[in-house]
Amino acid sequence: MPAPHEPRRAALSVRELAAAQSPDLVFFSSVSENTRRFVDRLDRPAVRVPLRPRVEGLIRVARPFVLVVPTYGGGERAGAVPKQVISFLNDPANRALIRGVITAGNTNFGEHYCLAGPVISAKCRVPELYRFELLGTQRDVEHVNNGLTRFWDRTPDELTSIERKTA
Amino acid sequence: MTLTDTMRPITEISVTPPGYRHDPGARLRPINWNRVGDDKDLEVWNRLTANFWLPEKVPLSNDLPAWQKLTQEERTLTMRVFTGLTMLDTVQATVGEICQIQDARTEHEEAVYTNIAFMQSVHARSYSSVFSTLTSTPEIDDAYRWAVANDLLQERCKKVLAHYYGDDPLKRKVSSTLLSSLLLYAGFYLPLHFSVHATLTNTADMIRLILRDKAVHGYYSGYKYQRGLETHTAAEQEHMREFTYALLEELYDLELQYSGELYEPLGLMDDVAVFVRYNANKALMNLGYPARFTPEETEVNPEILAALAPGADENHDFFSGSGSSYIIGKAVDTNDDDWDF
Repeated sequence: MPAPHEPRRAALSVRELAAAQSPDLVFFSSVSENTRRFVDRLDRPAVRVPLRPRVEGLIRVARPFVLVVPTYGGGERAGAVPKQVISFLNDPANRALIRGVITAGNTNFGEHYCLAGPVISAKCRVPELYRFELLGTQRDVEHVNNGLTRFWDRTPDELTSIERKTA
Repeated sequence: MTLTDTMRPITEISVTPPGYRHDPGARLRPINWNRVGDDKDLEVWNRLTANFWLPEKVPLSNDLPAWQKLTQEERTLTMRVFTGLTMLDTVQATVGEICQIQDARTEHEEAVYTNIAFMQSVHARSYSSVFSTLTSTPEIDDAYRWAVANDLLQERCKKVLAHYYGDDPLKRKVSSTLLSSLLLYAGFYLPLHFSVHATLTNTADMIRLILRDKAVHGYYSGYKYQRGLETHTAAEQEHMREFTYALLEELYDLELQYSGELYEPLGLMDDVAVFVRYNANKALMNLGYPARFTPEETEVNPEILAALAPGADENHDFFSGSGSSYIIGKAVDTNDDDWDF
């Protein structure tokens, strides 16, 4: 099938966040806005990975963060991680700062439930912190909020420092 | 066509074929997949085609020894449950999806419903494959006569059909999402239950393929519902919210009665009801609404959940653990081709 609108590899603009403005929560949400609604309910500062990088540009964060991401693809490993999130993590500066991943999914996808979680966890060598379905329940919101607070409290300095480098 | 027409967007000077019904004089426009207004249409189309499957690929005949070990009561239950599922998929394939074409917000959405409608016909046919593999023609005919005579089964379908043939596009969407994400699940429970006991495992594999499709179908109808809803006034939105919870209540009550007659003799109904409530909440989430049932009311039997999604257990809740297993590794360089391992 021809792909007439193949994105050109021209450099996209990058918005660099200052350390003071770089939240410890980064998320991606498609136009369905499901994941955004979950993150809104956490009521914590968070930054969104741009949905349309060619229009909105890319972002580069400056402090360690946990990533919240929906799973795409509906049953195949290929394409489970949204392509915008791949672009975001392909930036070594961003990848060096990820500390954990929380994934949204649907148990109907069986063994591929929340597949983006293990894919990112393996690729970036960070723990998979939590999984929830669709918009998440109130219980999920409370669990993640308490969990994130404890996670950052107990995470050793070497992980919260921005010094951790990739290979 | 006038000269000024060439200056205007093509969508303003033409309609897609379903528009003929309202304006036979309008110019017709073919679908253009190279000009997509809502990326979700292409994304869902690609998911649906990537997930395509046929029952002929599932080795159902390997379930024959297990079928022969079932009691007569279990066999009758299985045939009735699957005939009930066939009924719902028939409604959805021939009316539920097709009737949403007229309400499409984009021309690509029209095409997506034709895809979903065909897949619903595949689902309906897949139960016939199970029957022809495992049972005899007289038994099959008996199950179909049972379906036609069962008042509750009929009422469940007609409750939804009334909205499909009604005049409100949003009510069609809600009805379709509730059918795909609520009504079917009492039926799906049975093969999952059998697979927990290592029985009819190939049939369960086929059901897992159906479940994967249903998730995309419910998600898409729910997504388009929300796109439609946001163009309405606050009062109309509130009316739809009330309609949705009221219809869910009606369908849930009918479901408990219908499934109660089927499952209570085997003592499975409590478990089935939890599974229905869990999926009712998911139907609401697809529509963008909060849960109707509490976490306590929706705690699915862990064995059933594991049969559904092996990764859905607590092992993936790092927050509840001590975190001692956290090993700091070195991240590796990545590029786009690297992420589909």
